[in-house]
Amino acid sequence: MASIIFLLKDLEDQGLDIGMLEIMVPKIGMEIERRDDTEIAIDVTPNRPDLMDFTGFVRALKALAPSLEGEKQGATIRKHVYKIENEPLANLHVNKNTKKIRPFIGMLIAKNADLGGGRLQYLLNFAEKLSDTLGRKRKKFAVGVYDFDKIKPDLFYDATQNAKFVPLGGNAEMSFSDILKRHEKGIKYRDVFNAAKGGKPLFPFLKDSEKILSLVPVINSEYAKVTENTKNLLLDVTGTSEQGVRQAVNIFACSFMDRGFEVYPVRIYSSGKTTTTPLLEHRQIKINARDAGKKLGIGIDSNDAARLLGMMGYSAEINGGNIIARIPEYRSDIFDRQDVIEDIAIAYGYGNIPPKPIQGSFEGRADRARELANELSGFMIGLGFSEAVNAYLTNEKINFENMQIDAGEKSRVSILNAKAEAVTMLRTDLLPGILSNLGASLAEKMPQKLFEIGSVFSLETGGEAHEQLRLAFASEHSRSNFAEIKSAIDSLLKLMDIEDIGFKEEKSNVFIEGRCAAAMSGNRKIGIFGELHPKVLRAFGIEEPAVAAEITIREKIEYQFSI
Amino acid sequence: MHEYEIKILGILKADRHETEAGIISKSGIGRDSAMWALQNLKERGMIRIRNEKAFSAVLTKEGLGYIGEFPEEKIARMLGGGEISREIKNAPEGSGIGIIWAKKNKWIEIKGDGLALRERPPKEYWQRTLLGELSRRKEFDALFMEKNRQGIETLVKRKLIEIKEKNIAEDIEITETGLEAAGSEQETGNETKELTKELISRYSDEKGLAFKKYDINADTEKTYPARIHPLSIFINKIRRIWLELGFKEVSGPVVESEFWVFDALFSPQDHPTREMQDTFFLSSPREIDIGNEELRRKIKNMHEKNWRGKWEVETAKHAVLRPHATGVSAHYMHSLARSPAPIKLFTVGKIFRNETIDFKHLAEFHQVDGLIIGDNLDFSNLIFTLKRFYERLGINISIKPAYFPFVEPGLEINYVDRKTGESIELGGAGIIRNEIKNALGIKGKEVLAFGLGIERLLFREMPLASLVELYKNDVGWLRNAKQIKV
Repeated sequence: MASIIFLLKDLEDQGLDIGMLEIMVPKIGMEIERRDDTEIAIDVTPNRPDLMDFTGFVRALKALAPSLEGEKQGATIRKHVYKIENEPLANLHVNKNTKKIRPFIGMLIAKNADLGGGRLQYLLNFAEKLSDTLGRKRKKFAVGVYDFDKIKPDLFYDATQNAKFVPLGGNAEMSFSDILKRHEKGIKYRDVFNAAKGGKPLFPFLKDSEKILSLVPVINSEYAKVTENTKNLLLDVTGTSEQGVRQAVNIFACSFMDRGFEVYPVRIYSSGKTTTTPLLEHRQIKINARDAGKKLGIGIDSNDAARLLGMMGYSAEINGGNIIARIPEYRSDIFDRQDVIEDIAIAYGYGNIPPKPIQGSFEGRADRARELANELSGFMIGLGFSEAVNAYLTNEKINFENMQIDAGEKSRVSILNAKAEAVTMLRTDLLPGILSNLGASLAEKMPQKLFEIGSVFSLETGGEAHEQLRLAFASEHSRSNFAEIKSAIDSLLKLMDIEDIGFKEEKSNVFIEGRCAAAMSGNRKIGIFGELHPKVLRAFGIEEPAVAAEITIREKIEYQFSI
Repeated sequence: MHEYEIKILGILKADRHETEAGIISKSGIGRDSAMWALQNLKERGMIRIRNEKAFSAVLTKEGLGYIGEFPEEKIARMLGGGEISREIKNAPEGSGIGIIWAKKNKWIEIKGDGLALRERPPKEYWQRTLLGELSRRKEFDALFMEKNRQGIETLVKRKLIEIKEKNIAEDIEITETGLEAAGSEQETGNETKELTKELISRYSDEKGLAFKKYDINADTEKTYPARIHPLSIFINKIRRIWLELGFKEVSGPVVESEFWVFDALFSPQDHPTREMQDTFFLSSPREIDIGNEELRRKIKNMHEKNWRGKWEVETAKHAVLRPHATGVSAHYMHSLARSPAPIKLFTVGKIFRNETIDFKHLAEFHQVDGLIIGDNLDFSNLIFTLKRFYERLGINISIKPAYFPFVEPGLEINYVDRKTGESIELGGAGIIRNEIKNALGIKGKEVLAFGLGIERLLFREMPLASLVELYKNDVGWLRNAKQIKV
């Protein structure tokens, strides 16, 4: 989600007051993140970058407004198509140096622009946000704007090891390498370049017949800076994604036309080929109103569907039983019919779709492992233990060190990139969690008895994650002893119907030597229990003696994905 | 009166004063029971207890490492001795915290890009002195705490120590009421105090028995029944609803490949949510094998055709902790692609978000994810199902359009909290995209899917300061937590 800020006053001037916004913004699938007396912040989902643009936002909400009058009333069928009929106003020459580092470029020129009254700020904000989100922090593509009247065509897109110009806001020339080393923007964006293999790195730049216009996509030069008084604009989009560059140019072309600017193409000479941009795609998708209605569970005819599409900015033509839907030229998120149907649903209003039960008979069935855990919980409650639920995420200190276990040799699932220091791995045992809980409950009345049932994780010899289902419990009070825990585990194993229950002396750093045992089923070790060693108790901050047990319920949890 | 209480009053009758330790040793009662009995006597005004707070400090691993020398002392020493260069960027790794404190203490200053020593640290650096003192003392009293409060707080903030606090009954004094009670307890004469097996066998109507009357308003020892954790109760409640709505319960792994949680769900490989910021990536295992060759090819085609970028199998193999439970749904769509429909499935499980953890924020949550596969399913069926589920929980939901890469149309579920008037997002749902169905092998059927948060709903069920409280398992909290209505 990207958050974009508009002034309420500007929206009101366009006929969108706050009451209207509160209804319309969620209706179109966005969110009001916050607002105060003067401004409103809208959360825009990544599929609709066109709504981060003030013009685009107003366009979308005004088109959708008639839907407030009822799902089928309102808007007439829309016929508008965005077209650029002007002749190219400038030539751009692309040098093959750029091919390996940032190969794609698109441009447009907008004449009779009016950037006063805050409109310049909206334009710059949008360019910045678009480059940051859909442009993936300028890596996939980035947008730049220049005052066309200060430029002396032709234009050149090239790459070099180093050159000098005065960066935006500066007063002295800086070299490319200086900008990347020292300038705030240079530091921020120096990683966007695709490292060319071998040799010294090349940096892409844009220039006119005399001077450098920008170090692409880092910073523009002061020379062709855009101001509120700029009347004629040059806009460029460069990037590593051809589709991304084209879409970004098109979004701006439509936005400028809606603002009443005159949009002119730029002719591009690249590797012996000549193209012009913007290249508006007039995509059409054939929709059947009945099929669309069937997918949504509503009854609409072709006329309804065409009008609903109009409210989402589509032009439509009814052709027999079908509708030819023309996708708005600024939309880049429409893959096929299902996406158009969603837009019909949005215009219809999700709240107007009548909920309808599913036909057929269905049998529910609980997951067996989950039911087993519930049954075991019942046993533990009977034995007087309360349930604890601890996090899967833990760290070596709690999971190993406190348990007096050498972490080095223990296999575990480890996190690569945790933001929180306390989180480095998945738990390999349940007891550390329970003992932490007891250590944090000093003030409570004794005895304190806790159990937990849940997954623990380790690695197999092949390196794959290994998930086990375990049950652990502990009892802390001044007279806790081996007999208490042995008695509890013995009755538990009997309730669980474990075959051939036996006990064997066991050694472990966790328990006091000679007061620790393994629970056996025949020759198979299924658990360990005993009196906790004072070192362990101290490590967890437990003050009274305590006894504990941990048993394996499922040796290996495997997921078959069958029902 | 309980026998322990009588015993304690008996001890106090003689000298009128005693310490907690004295009561325990003279009575032979265990500490827990003695504390309980003392509490009861106090509540009935029979004794007065003067409590003292006692504290202890536990040194963290970092704290233990600082006992010999604090990092700020080290920096100053090294600067003084010319052992390190004066350029900040050349400072030894991990010396950041030392630089900050040395600067705060005005031992060093930062000039441009360089460090300079202003004055040598004192021999007895107060933080180190205090830390040493705390590591030597097993326990300290409130006076010490008060005198050193600022210093101790600094050390706590630096995560060098953790402070634990408990109450100790320093002086216990019997009151007049207590003395009276102590007397009367011993003058019960011929009245029967406790019924015994022997008395029952000898009982006859003629003789009868004179029972001593009890004060039925007297306090009794609190019973703390063993309890199931509120989160488990609530998860079972949610499971029951889905089971009753005819859904089969399934499960899947939390350690997953990017393939199942992102690629199979149409999330482009350069999508921001796939970056390190939000998802936990693993260093072991680093990769998870994606067995099925044909499936891998289909998913690759789906991506390259629609997103036009290059699809890398290496990226898809990265091991992650699942950020949502929809990967389970992806597995089942694939495995059940040719099974007879309709099918309704759900899973409840852990999900992980790479967040900064503090007293209010967690990095793991639970989610319920579900799937309905059928021939004649539509969007209104999905809305019905979701409404029905939340109705059972007493929640009136509203829905709005929303974007998730794997569904079209997509919706978001919200409800307005009655107390705060806040709109709360509960989850997302939609119709699975055709591209995904095709890649996973589902032909001619619709698939409705939903993913709903669980923890947020808990706030409606019980008073909860924050979600962190849920996972603390503080015994007192577990004992007193409000029972969730099933």
